[in-house]
Amino acid sequence: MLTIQLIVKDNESTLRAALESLSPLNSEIRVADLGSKDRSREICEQYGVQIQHFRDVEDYSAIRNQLLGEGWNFYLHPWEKLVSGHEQILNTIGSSCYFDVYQGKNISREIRLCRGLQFRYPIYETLVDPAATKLPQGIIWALPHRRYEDAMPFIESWKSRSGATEPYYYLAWELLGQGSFTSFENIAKHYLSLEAIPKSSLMLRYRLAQVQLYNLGKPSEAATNALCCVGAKPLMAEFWCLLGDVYYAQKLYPHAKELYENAMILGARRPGDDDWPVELEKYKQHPTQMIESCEDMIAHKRLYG
Amino acid sequence: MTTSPLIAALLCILENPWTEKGYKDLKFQYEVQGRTHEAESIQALIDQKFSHVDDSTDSEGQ
Repeated sequence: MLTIQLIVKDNESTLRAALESLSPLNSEIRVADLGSKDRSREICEQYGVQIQHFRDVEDYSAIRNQLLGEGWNFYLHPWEKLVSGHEQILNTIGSSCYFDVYQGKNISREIRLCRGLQFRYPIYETLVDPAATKLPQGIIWALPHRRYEDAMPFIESWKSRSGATEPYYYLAWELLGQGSFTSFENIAKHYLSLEAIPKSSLMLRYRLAQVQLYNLGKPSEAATNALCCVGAKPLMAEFWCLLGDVYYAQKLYPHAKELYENAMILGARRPGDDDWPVELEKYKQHPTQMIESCEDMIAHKRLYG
Repeated sequence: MTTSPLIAALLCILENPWTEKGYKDLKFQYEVQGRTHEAESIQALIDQKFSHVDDSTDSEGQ
């Protein structure tokens, strides 16, 4: 049993194509109308879909959760059209699935097919499932702004790269600002799994590593992310310091001391016109203090075992 | 995560940050990528950390 949902508001120009593309699934379609003043509701009625009416919406996740069916659920935006993947959707069992979604000039990867999940976040309503799999045949692309022939080169070009999806990037920072560390970790990891490590993702990865180390107690995962940061920017003292902190937290003081020293030496060679200008003097304080602390701990260990 | 040669060099440094090997590999990787300033900086680190160290002290801290 598959339930499909759409949130609609004045989408008459694309809604018919969206509903038409869903008809091969022969499934229940539920529509939330946010007060359309065009022919959107009339089009929905022509396709026999259930319409629920909402006003003054502040939380899109709450609406989507109300539309969820008991079994499998799939959602489409009214400006999208399901181009392929119909059989895969109907045959999928066992886990929720990501879809490649063509939006403007971007391909994003989002969970669209799920069972037993709830939408989260009020603006960029999102399904989160660490066990979700990829359904490569399922490609959705936005209409009607480009004809299919125009869109396909973009789709093919983006399929060969990791997709980028800005909403997840901003959502991650928002969650971090709220102190929602577990949610931040989930979204940041999802975003980083999509990105081909542009500059914007490096600092997000650094913050993720910090959260994993200081807030979530995951030194191993923190080290992996910090390592990626060091590889990309080896003259960033803060990246080496974070690696030092990983070892310090595990009481491996000789390791930590060497890494803090690397921060001092390489940080001093960081160019002044770096992508992220900082007051270069600032980088010295933390590693200097930590090196002293490591030496104290090493000496203490020698004395007292 | 795919372990690239650069990441492999960094892992080597994490395992044994008091030996030169990982740093030399890392410098090589930046040279290959044409990242001259990074390669020179790693060489400066090698010079500063290891120029006065003989083989007998390589095991310090282990």
